[in-house]
Amino acid sequence: MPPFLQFVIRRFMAIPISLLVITMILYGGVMLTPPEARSSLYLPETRRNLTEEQLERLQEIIIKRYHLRDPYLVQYALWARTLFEGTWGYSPTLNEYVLPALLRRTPATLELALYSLLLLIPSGLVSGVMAGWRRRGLFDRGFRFLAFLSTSTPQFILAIVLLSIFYINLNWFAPGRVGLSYRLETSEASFIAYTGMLTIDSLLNGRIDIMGDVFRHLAMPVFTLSIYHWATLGRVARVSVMGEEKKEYVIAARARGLMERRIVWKHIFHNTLTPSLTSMTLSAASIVTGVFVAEIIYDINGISSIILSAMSGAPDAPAALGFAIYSVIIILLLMFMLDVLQAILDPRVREGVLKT
Amino acid sequence: MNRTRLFFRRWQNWLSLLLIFAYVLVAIAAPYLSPHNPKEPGPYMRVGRASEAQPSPPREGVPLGTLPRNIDVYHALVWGSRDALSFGLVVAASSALFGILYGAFSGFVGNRLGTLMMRVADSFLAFPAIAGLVFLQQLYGTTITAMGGIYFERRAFDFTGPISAIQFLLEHVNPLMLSLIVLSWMPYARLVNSIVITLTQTDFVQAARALGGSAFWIIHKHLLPNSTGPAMVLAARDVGGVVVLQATLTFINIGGDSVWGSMLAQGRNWILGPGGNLLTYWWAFLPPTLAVIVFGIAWNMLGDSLSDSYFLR
Repeated sequence: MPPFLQFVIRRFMAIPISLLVITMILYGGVMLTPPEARSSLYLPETRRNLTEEQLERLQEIIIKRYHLRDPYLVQYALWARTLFEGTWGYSPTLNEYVLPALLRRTPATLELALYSLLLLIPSGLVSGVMAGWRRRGLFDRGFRFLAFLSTSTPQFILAIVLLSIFYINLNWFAPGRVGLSYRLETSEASFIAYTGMLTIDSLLNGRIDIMGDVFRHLAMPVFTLSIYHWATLGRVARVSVMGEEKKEYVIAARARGLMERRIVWKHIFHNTLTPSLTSMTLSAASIVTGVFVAEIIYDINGISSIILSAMSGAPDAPAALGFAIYSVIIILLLMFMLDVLQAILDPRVREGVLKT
Repeated sequence: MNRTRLFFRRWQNWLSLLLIFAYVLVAIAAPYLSPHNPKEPGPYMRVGRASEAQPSPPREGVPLGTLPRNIDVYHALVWGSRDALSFGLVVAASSALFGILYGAFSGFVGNRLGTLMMRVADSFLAFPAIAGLVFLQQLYGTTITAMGGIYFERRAFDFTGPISAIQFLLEHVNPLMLSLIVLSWMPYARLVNSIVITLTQTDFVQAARALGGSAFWIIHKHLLPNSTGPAMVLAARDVGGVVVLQATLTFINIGGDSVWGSMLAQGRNWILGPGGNLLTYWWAFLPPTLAVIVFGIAWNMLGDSLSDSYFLR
């Protein structure tokens, strides 16, 4: 097996370990509640048709079957097994099982996150490097000002301003996933959902007009999401460039008569990747929280919408627990992708991981 | 040059301290700046009929106008700063305290246990705050329902029987506060852990060990004083970040009870509704917005200036 593939596999195997720790902690939280409350994690779909008495008997059966009065580890093991085989419990507020509900809403979330990352990673790295290279220059001043503005404007306030200007007053962009007339079309049988991501699906179905409309709806959430993390990423890249210009390899490159542009983009750029992408890995959780917030504000029916109903109505433990686990899985995968990206782009990291 | 003098050399540092001082002053003087209506204490004070849906502009006795249902903007703004400041400080201080102790201990014991402890801390990094908040509140709600109580508008009603541990906890502790503390101690732990690992190799700690000092004594006497500085930088930024997050979650109605966030949520339809405009009802939008933004900026600037003057020179 090629060593790089070995690294990817080894890094991937770290995901279940983190997941184990987190689910153990989560179930530790669940253990604080009485067994009757815990049984709601296993209540089936038929619960709505039961009388009070039947429900209580059912609860008793579940408590016995899943050993809900036994020690923590027994309960945890039984519950963890249902995560692999089951449907993650029936959510009374959604009227469906949690895992299918999450999976169905994933493409919308993925689409939003994907475009934001595609926008913010290149722009953050490039603008950060440019600002750091000509420190205190005009571009650097502009960059620092913009970065300051965007990190100090909370996401929801930016969203209010954008919605008010570009939706209500100008009507250039709009919240939601797609316009009303197109929404009917995209749910018809003739519109084949290959990926669930509307931008790609509409292209595959040959409907450029739908794609345009989807982008019109994506513009504001993608901008809101990217601008904050663009600034954080750019700042890290800028700081890591600042230390580099006095380094020997830069002086050597200069002495060889290389063009300034080539020194920056061929030599220094690679050295800024590691700290920048590491900082992104560390803030992966806040990026995903940002995705959820953007979804809710811009009314996108992504995976965060399953907690909206749970938070406003009757308590819904399966939905909350499923949402927590699912978002942790997403974050772990995001961290994994960033680590692999870093190994692909940075030769030092690649050699480091290949040696061990 | 001495650190304190270095700190006061830049105007940004002055400004951040001044702004924070202003918030603290408003928070302390809230009862004098805007006394409570004895009939309905709390940050939201009505200054007219509750049936009035339209926000009214500033007038005599209501310096910043009202939100829908005649809620006084100025009153909520003043009391909101007390709320925000205490929330931010409690979360930052608790997570810093826990993180520092955790990191110091895991760095000091080293070996397998230390590595395992840091692995656990790293796992926490993959947990989003929003999921933690939802999870905690749902636990609370489910517990109440399972024990025969009624769960309505995120509070317990008509509850009979003995109170369990989690009920007591969540009834007296703000769930958002708890989940933010649980989810923001890891950076401190990582930071202090790496500092402590470096320090344990230095001569003065080795000497303390050779003298037969106990683990607790060495951590307390030598390791903690050397790592609190960088942790303070993190804590200062946390105070601002946590309050902004609280306002965000309140605004999108996921839980959390930030006064400023709730003000924006209440005025939302007049800013964002049909024909809404940022400027027409500026008093429903600008005061809470500026309060949140300036709060975040002030603490962030304090963090930046602390890190500049303490650690980079």
